[in-house]
This record gives sequence, structure tokens and C-alpha cells, in this order.
Amino acid sequence: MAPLAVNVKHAGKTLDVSLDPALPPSVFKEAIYQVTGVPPDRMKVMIKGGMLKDDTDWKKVAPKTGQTFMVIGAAGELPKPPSTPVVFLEDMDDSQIAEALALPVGLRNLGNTCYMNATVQAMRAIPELQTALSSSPHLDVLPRALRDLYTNMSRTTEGYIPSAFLTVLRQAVPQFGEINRSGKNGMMSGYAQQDAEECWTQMANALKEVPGIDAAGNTVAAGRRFVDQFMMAEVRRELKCDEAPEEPSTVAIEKVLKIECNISGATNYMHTGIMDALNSQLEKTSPSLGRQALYSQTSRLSRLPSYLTVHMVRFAWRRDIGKKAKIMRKVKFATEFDALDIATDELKAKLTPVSSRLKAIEKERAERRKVRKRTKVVQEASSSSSRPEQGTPDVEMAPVAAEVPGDLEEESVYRAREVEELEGLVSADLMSDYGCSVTGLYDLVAIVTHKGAEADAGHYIGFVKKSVLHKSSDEDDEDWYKFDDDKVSLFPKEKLGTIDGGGEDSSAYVLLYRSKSLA
Amino acid sequence: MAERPTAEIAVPSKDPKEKKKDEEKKPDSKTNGVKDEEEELSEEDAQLKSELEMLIERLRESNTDLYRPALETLRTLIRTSTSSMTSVPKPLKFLRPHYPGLQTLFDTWPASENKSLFADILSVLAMTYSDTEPRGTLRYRLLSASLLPPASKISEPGSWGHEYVRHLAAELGEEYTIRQEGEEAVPAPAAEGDADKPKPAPVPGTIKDLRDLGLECATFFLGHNAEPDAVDLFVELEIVDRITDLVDANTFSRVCAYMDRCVMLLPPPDDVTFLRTIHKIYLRFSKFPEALSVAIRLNDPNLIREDFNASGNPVMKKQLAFLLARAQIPIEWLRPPPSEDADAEDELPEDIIDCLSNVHLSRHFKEFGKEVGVEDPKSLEDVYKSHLETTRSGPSANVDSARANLAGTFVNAFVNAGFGNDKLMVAAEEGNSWVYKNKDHGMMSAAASLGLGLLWDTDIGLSHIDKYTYSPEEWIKAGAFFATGLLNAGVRTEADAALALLSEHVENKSVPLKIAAIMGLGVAYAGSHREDLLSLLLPAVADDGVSMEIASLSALALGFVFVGSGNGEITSTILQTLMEREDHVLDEKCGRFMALGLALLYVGLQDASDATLETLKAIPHPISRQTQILVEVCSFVATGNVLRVQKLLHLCGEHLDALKEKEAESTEGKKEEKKEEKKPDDTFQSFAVLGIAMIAMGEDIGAEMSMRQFNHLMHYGDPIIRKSVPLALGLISASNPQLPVLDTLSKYSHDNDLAVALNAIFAMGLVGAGTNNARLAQMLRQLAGYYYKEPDCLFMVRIAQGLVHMGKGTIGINPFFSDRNIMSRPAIAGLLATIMAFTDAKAFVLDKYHWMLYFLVTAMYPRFLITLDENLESKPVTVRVGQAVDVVGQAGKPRTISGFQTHQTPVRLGTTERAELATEEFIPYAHVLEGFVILQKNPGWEKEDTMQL
Repeated sequence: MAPLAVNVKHAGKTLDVSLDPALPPSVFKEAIYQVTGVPPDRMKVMIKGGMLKDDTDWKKVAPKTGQTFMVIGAAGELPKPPSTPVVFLEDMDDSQIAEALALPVGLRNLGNTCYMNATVQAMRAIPELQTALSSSPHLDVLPRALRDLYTNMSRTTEGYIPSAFLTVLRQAVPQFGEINRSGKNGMMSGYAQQDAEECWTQMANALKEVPGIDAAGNTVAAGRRFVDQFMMAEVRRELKCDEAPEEPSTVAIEKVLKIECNISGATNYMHTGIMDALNSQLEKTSPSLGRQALYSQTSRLSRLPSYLTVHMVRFAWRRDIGKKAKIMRKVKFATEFDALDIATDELKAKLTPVSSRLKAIEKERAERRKVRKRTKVVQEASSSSSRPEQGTPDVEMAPVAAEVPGDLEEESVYRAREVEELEGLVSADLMSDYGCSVTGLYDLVAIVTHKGAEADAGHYIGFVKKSVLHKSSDEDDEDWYKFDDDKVSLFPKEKLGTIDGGGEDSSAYVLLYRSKSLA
Repeated sequence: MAERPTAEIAVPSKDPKEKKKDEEKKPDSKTNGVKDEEEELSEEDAQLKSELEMLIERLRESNTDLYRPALETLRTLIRTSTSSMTSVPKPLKFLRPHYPGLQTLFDTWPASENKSLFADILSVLAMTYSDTEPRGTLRYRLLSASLLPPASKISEPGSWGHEYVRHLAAELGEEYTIRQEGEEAVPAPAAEGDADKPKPAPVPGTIKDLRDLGLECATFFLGHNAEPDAVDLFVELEIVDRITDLVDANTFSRVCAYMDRCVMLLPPPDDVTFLRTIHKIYLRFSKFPEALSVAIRLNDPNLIREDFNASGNPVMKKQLAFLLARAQIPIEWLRPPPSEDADAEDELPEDIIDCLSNVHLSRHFKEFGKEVGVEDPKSLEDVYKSHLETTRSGPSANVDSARANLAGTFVNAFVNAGFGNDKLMVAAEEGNSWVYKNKDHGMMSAAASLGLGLLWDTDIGLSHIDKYTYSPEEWIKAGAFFATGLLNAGVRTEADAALALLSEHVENKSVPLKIAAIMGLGVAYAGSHREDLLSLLLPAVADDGVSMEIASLSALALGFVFVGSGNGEITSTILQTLMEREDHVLDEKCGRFMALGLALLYVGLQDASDATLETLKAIPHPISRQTQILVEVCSFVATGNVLRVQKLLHLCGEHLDALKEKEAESTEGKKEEKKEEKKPDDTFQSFAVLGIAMIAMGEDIGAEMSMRQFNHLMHYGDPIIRKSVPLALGLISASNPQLPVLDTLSKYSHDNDLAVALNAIFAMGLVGAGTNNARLAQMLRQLAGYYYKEPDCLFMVRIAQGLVHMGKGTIGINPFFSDRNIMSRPAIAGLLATIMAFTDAKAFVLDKYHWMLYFLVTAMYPRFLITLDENLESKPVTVRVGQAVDVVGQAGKPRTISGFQTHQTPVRLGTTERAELATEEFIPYAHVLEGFVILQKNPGWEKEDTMQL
């Protein structure tokens, strides 16, 4: 029998093949392979009532000239599984999840030690401290214990038990070893709750001897101490007698670890509280008048450190009840703090150009980010990216930014230009004083809150901004971590308003601000 | 009423004498008088009155010669009296007091032609006494007819005016009802009549006389723009079919439209009669598409075949083929029955087969996508728009969550369905296929999503899917099989690829592969009634050796294939299985799919399911009750049958827990016995809720009323009912996002009971499926933020988002088409099966059966209007698209759409939208502009600008 000219339909195309009913179907398949490229073993030829098998008898199929067969099968490779199997969130155990999500670890509460946990976590928001601790060869006991604590914390994913550090802390600061005797029976008594602010101050004091670092992160043995560099502000206090204007004002320069925010009946904002504390009035003996007179003390900061601690003076000694009482008042704090108002005039003059320029630049940056976000969405839609789930932004950012048509250059180009411009504006002596704030503008990076009505009771919780702990995070990521002892959770920035105070619930107590960097 | 007679009695006594003088002139002066001033009017009236009284006097006199002229004058007076719409004609008013007297007078007359005339006049006068002497008009009318000599004809009822005919028609209906019921209950007429009259004179004449009179009235109605009245009269006389002969070219369309609208409101036997009558009328006027669509609704193979073959025009045949393809009518129905096979008029032409089997659907759909600018694939982020979400989700970035990816699989499948270019699966880069981003059973859904991505594309798609059938991973293989079935949903190929590829795997050892093959076949051949599948799938149902899961799904697949067929063999096999299987096997959750499989066989068959229902009652296991409900609601789906709805509501009202407690209290002694049957099975309540939606769907008023019922159920129902209500809402308004429904669902989606919330979210997806509704999208984004910590709910939110953007807004899942008149049975099957998987979401969709979401595919169809020329090439014309307006029964020719916009075809249509051609240049072959419409050049059309010149 002569071969028949038949058609095969494959992938939307119709092709001509010759079919010889005398030969087995495999020959026909081979012929189809020649025109379609579908390997015969993966080829499926549709015939009436089923598929063409190698042992099918052509007589039953009864092919006719010009008949069209449908061929199913793909030429080329079969889809291969990816080289590394995908690991799913659902398969991970807790520590893997923590790692994957990069949630920082919490600290176990060892019995009324939340004050310490909160403080330690908040202090972790000063990455330079960890650099200083780890680079310095000789350390005192407490700094060493702190260093070990921080390194251990970065190595684990489960709640860490800071017992070693606690012991050292209690040795170094005996008051923290105080035993609570107010318990109803002796058996239940344990270590007493302590004031987190006290703890903060004591720890800062204990760290006094930690040597400073230079811009490259190396220990500078001879230079200033770390705390002086990064945490210490200088206050210029001018005392002026109100009743004797002719009396010359006395000026004193003082170093302080923190600035205080006094809370009075009229304080609604942190800023006013700070101003209250800086402009105080006191009574003392006036040398010129020879009697007790009213003096007003105006304090202004002559040096702004990189890390500025604000202490909400929430606990006041109430003489009438003979107790430390908590001021519950709601005091709004800002996530961005402009310290120009509390700086001395000289310092203000030095800071103003940088600060005003930086503000303008920040606006531009935000603007650019918005544009980028928009284009990114468009890009993602059109780009051939096969993984629409967001990868780490810095990975994704680069190629996308490169593809932005003409509108925007790469972000780093802008950044470099801006930094250059800003650096030109920074005054020389501030530049040389490594560790001080050159902008006078601050971002809130850590908070210690207190919950409860009494100073010696209640619960302390630490909050640290996410972007401080993970450098790689998106700039837009304004969320926070909440360190409630060993429970670590995400805390959206929208909820920061809930820790303003105004009730027994957590209210901000110690606030750590970080100077805005130029970049 | 009491005042009027007294007032009128006073009038006649005053000036009767004046009147008598100028009796002759009355007709003329009366007509003038009406136009005259008010003063004269009253005088005019008085004249008329006295004249009428004089005429009556004459009738009382013995001179029989005068009777005739007196009656004639009376008649003329009554007929020529004009009146406004609101007032009683003057002669009637004045004659009213004399009516009783005339009646007695009439009875004394001997039978004569005059008496007939007298009866005729009395018949008119009786209109004024219809409250105290019902059916007087009819009685005298018939008397008048009977008194006439057989040669002469009584005057047409229409000669007495419209009001008279309407009156007569009303009384005809009444009389007919009384007679029908009177056969059983003799005192019926007395009860109906007023108590004042001791004997309401019986109405003479036979039923036939009544009907003949009815015909006369109807003829009058049809000639006077009162088609609804004519139809109503025929309904009352139960002779609807006879309207066929009365309608003419001017009236038939209005009559049909009205009857069509009535079908929903009629009790079972009548609605079919109506449809058949409509069908006959359409055929009489050679309106084949209309006739065929009615035949499809009747689901009558013979009618469909006759209609299809009735048209000799090959282009019209193609248009009919498109209609049949949309309804997925089995091609086999069009072939002549085997008895005539001898002279089988061989095969249908190839191009018609192409139209019938939807071969070009894929090509046209892609072109349509290009035309409306949505051919580019959408990524998941395009759908989620998570940058607009209020809260950032916790676990971010570089971790792959199997749950989230699985949701992504479905979103991608639904959103890019039919375009064959999605980035995750079809056009994935080598080695980067999304399949591997899924876990275990997730891979099955991922692989199956190919079938959706390549939907309808039988040319290229199958080869694409084939690649995955060689995967070593069993789940992927299973997914690929299922995909093969999905791809073929709604299209038929010559090669029958799905059957060829899948049939051998039905007997596969591996459970996933077997299930995939079975369900693939079920979906691919939904509604095809293919006998060869019967032999393939039925053994699995009957086999005691296979698991309940496989048996149930086989039954479901059969239900898909034989939807609405009432196939006896399958019925008996499933019933047998239900009877024979062990109780604990039937307890399995997938048993409901076997019940559904059985129920689907009876979709739209109404009473035909009675025998099955009776048999089911004999099965002791609780599944029997579930099955009964399902079978019943499927039989009466979209009929709006109020009685069934009431029955279902009654079932929903049972509080099983409370009931059980009561029982326990009353039978404290037999405590141990009670404890054994621990929890009463309440699944049937869930089905009852869905059943309400099933029955009420497709009819606007019923649907609206059911919303209210659902609201009550939500307030007072048990958890199982509350869980089902959102699903019912989703079912009833699939792809039809009306604001009240959205608001309600949005409320439920925040319910404390997560199962309710979950179903509500899914229902939101159903309601908005393929609409791109911005409001709904916003709600879902908000929900994504709200539930970011609930993986189940978040999963469902994602799926709902995918559904809302189904086919990038071009594919809908509403089971009704052709102006929402015809119900697609496979679509109902698909929708119901999907929803069934949500009646216990934890066990199905949230577990390993998420692939059941793909059942929706049988309901998925592009919401487009594509105009074609006679060679089936796309032919852009301008059309107006607007909200559909119900104009049935309205006077004149009102616009059928409102708020329209003018577009160029192809164009997409919303569920409640309608299109009409904006140009006179073409005449469509189809009666409803939807789907594929073939256009014909209007021979009488002249270019407008040439006319201006």
C-alpha cells in the first residue's frame, strides 16, 4: 500500500506527514518527530477513540489521505525542579522562623528583672556601643558581661537567659540586689523591682571606662571615652538673679547623660516638658543682695551627642504619701526631634545650615521614594520577573532603579551628591568631634516604657526601631520591635501613639534619640 | 354607594315631562351637550335621563313592536356615550336604578331576538351591579348569545368598549374557577356571591361557551395593545396554547415577552405549557434563536433538534450553533434519533460543528482581550496591590509560605485564565516553574492551574500540559491530568483529547492520579451526556472495594457529565451505593459529593425527581436527608418555587441542639440510649440554606426576598446555618456585585465565627467574580490587613481577590445567559460543587481539596459581545451598552437600556447590562446581543451622509 499524505496538528500548526499503513505506528511517530521535534516516547497521537499505541493496528484506524491527526506533546526539555528545594514557612520550627524573619531575641525575665531587660534591649539600639565593646581589648567586669550578653544574643534565636549579666550587674550596682520584703510571706520575696532609668544611668556609668572609637570602628585608647563621645551632652547653665538684674550671671558647664522632661499639669508635649526642665527657677542666696533671692536658670546644650537620652520624669517623690508616685499624664513624644531649640546660640549657629538643608533633602528623598515605588509597581508588572513576592528590597531596588527610564537616576548617585553637599556645610569643630551630632536632628530609636501605677512595681518593656537592628531594611519601614522580656513582636509605628501615657498601660519613660546621619 | 341611589331617585321625579318631548333628537343633542357649558350640562343630563326612562317605559308596555326600536336606541345611547377614564358613562349611571326592574321584566319576556338584544343591554348594565350580583355581565352575555337564532351572530363584545371587555374577561375567569371547583364543592358559587341575593342566577352556557367568549375577548385585547390581559384571561381559562393562533406579526413579540416573564411565577405544570406556547409562537413567526432559547430552557432534545434543523439558512444555523454551544447542549441531540437512522442525513457541516463545539472560543477570547487591552499577564502583586493595604503583613520577603504560594497559584490561575501567557506557570522560565513553589498537594493545584491558564486552548495547551505528566512527582502528575480536563471545559474537539488522555488513568492505582483523571473527565465533559463516560466512571461508584472518596467523586463527575439528564442507570447505582455502604463509610465528609452527584442529574427536571426522592426516604442514614434536599433543590433550581422555599426555611428553623436537649429531658430514663447518637447530623441544614438560594436564583424578586430570609437566618440560625448563609448569598448573585449584597457580606466577613467570615470572604469573591469591582477590591484589601494573622482567612482573601479579577475582568461565572434567561446547567453544577466544598471548608478547601476551587471552570465564560460577519470573521460595529431595563408589558416601545455608552465591538458586558446595535446598517441574527453574534447587512440601509446630501 502506498504511503498516504496526512496532516498532523501540533501546537496550533498543521504539518504534512506521510503515513504508510504497512509499517508499524512507531514509524509514523518517527516521521512526526522529524517535523515537530516531539520525542516519540512522549508523543501522543490522537486517533478516533483513543491514542495511537505502538501496537495499534492501522487497519482499525483506517487512515485516509488528508486526514488530520492531533499530536500532543512538547518538544524540548521537561520542566525541571529547582536545584534547591523550596523551604516553606510552614515546615520551619520556631528558631528557623525567627532566623528567617530575623526577629531579634528577647531576654528571659529572672524575677523582676524586666527593668534590666528593657534597658539592655534599648541600649542595643546603639550599634556603636557594641563596636566599642567588641573592639576594646581591656574591659571592666560589667562592660565585659554586657559584651558577652550582646554577642550571645546575636547568636541565638530563642529567648536568652541573662543570668551572668544580672549577677555582674548586681555586684557592680549593689542597689539592684535589693530584696523585696514587702511580700506577704517571706518565702515569696525575691529581688525587688527597680527603676529602669536608674538602671540606664548606672549602666552608662559603668560603661564610662569603655574607650572610645574612631570613625573606622577602632579603639582609641588615648582619646575620649565612648560614653563621652556618643552619649554625653554638655549643658551650659546660666544662672541669673531675677531680683538683681545687675548681678552678673554665673555660667557653669556640666556634662549630662540625659536631658529631662519635667511633667507638670500643663505638659502635653515632650518638647514643652524639656523646655520646662531647662528653664527653671530656684531660690538661693544672692551674694549681691545678701539674702535668698529668686534665680532663673537657663540651660542650653553646648554639645549634642549622637545618642540623646530623654528621661520622662514620671516618678516624683510625693511627700504627702511618702512614696514615689507615677505621673500618669499623657505626654506626646515625637519620633523626630529637632534639638536646635535646646542648643546654645553658638551651637545653633553651627548646626542651622546643615539642619535646614537636611530637612529639605529629606523631603526630596521621600518624594523620590514615592516615585520609585510607583515605577516599581509598573516595572514589576511588565518586567519578566517570575517572582512577584517582594524580595529583599536592596536586592530588588538596584536592577529596578537601573531600569527606570530617564526619570530618576540611581538612588546612590543622589545620596553621594547630598552627602557631599551636607558635609560642606558641617562646621569644622563639629566634624572633628566624632560622636557628636552634626545635624541637631534626631530620630527616635528606642523606648523604655513603664506599665503600672507605682515606680517600684509594674512592668518595663523595651521598644526598638526595626530599621536600627536591620540595616538592610527598607527606609520606609517604620515599624518597631517590642521586647516584652522574651516575647518579641512587631509593633507597627501607628501604635506608637498608644504608649504616650495617660493611663496605667505602658507609657514612655526613657526615650533614646539618634542623631540623623547625613547620608 | 348608599348615597348615590337616594340622590338619583330624587332627580327623576322633578322633570321627566320635559324630556319626553325631544326624545328623537337626543343622540345629536347629547353629543353636543357634553361639550356645552356646565349649566346646560345638568339640563342635558336631565334630558338624557328622562329619555332613558321613557325608553324603559316602552319596554314595559305591551306593544312589542316598539321593543325593538327602544332597545336599539338604548344601545346606541350607551355605545355613543363618551366618558373620561375615571367616571361612569352617563347612561349607565342613569340606568343603574332601573336595573333590578329591568331584570324582572326580562324574565317575563318570551325568548325572541328582542330578548337577546335586551340581554345584551342588561349585560352592559350588570357592570354597575358587579359588586352585589357577580358575573351578571357574563350571564346576560351568554343568555343573549343563546337566545339568538343560530344563523345570526351576536355583536362583538368589543363593540361595547374596552371597559366592557375587561369586565367580561374578569368574570369569565371567575366563572371558570368556580366551575372548576364547583364540581367538587356545590355551594361554591353561593359562597362567592353576595349574601344579599338569595339566588345568584346561575350562569348559563358550557365551558366551551366560556372559552369561545374568552377567545373573542382575547382577540379584542390583542388588537388593542392589551396583550397581558389576553394572556391573563387565557391563563384563567387554561387555554394558553390557543393564543398561538390569535397573535399576529405585530403582537407576538409582546405576548411572548409577557408570557416569558410570567413563567417564573407559575406553578409547575403551567410554566412548561407557557414555554411550549411561546416556543410555538416563535416558530410560527420563524424566530429561530428565540425559539431555540426556549427549547433550551425546556431542555427538550426533540424541540432543540427540530428548531436547529428548522432553519434552512446556513448563517442562521451557525448562530443557533453558537447559542447551543454556550448552553453546552450535547451535540448528539442534534443528530436524528436512531430510529430514523436509516436515511441519516449524514454529518453536520464542519463549520457548524466548529461553532457547536466552541473551537474558536480561545482565539476569539484572546483577540477580545487584546481589543480591550488586557492581554498582558498580571502578576500577583498587580492583584493584591499590597502597598495599598493598611497593615503590612508580618512574615515578609524572602520566606516562601506554602499557604501564601498556594493562594498565589489560584490567583494566578483565575486572573490570567484563558490568555495562556501567565508568568508563573504557562510562560514560566525554564526551571522556574511556580509548581515547585508549592508543597505536596499544593503542587496538584499548581499544575492544574495550567488548565485554567490555557483554558479552551485545545491546540497549544494540551502539549504544554503534557510536559508535566512526565513529572516524577505524583502530585504534579495528578495536577497535569486535572489540567487536561479543565482546559477542555466547555469546548469539544474532534480528537476528543481529554477522553483519550485521561481514560486510561481512571483505573490508576494511585489515588491522586485516579481522582484527577475522574474529575478531569467530569469537568471536561460537563453537560455532554456522553454514554461512553458512563461505562468508564460508573464502576467506581458501584464498587464496594474503593474508598468513599473515590466513589463520591466519581458520582460527582457523573453528575457533571449527565447534569440535568435524569439518567436512570446512574441514579439507581448511586442509590444502591447509598443503601449498601456501611454507615461509618457514609459518615465520611465526602459523602456529600455523592449526594451532589445524584442531585446534579436532576437539575431543572422538577417533578421528575419524585421517584428518586421516595426511594431516598427508605435509606436510614442521615445522608439520605441531605441527598433529598439536594435532589429537590436541584430539580427546582431557579424556578422561584415558593412552596419549596418555605419547606427549606422550615428545615432551617429546627434547632437541633435544643431539640436534642428536650428529648433528653423527656426521656431521662433512657439516657444511655440517647448518648449513643451523640451529635445529630446538621449538614442538611447547610444544604437547605443553599437550597433557598438555588431556588430563588435567576429571578430578581424572589432573590431579593430571599435576602431578607437570609438576614433572619443569620440572626437566629445555628452556627451551621450562619456558616452557609454567606455561601448562599454568593450563589444567588454570582458575578453580580450589587451594593446591598456587598455590604452584607462585608459585615459577615468580620464575623466572630471565623468559619462565617471565611465563607463570607469567598462569597465576596463569587459575587464580584470577573467584575474588577473597585469597591470590592478595596474591601478585600482591607480584609487582607485585618486578617494578616489568620492564615486561613488571608488565604481566602487572596483567592477572593483572584476571583474578582478573574480573566482580568473579562470572565464571569453567572450561570444565566442570553439576557439572564437561560440557565447553563454545567455552570450550576460547577458553582454548586465549588460551594459544596465550602460547606465544610476545614475538611476540603483548607485541607487537601483546594483543587475543588477549579470546579468553577464550568461556570466561567467570557462576558463579551463579539460581532461576526457571515464568514465568522470579527466585524466591529458600534453598539450601545447600558443597564438592562425591564420593559415587559409597558406601553409603546420604551428603551430597553438606560445610561448607555457607545462602544465599538468587541465589548464586555456586565451581568445586568444589555447591548443594542447603535447602527441600522446591520441586522443581528441573534435575538440577544451577547457572546457571538452574527450580523447581516441591512438591505434597506442607506448611508446617512448620502441622505443628507
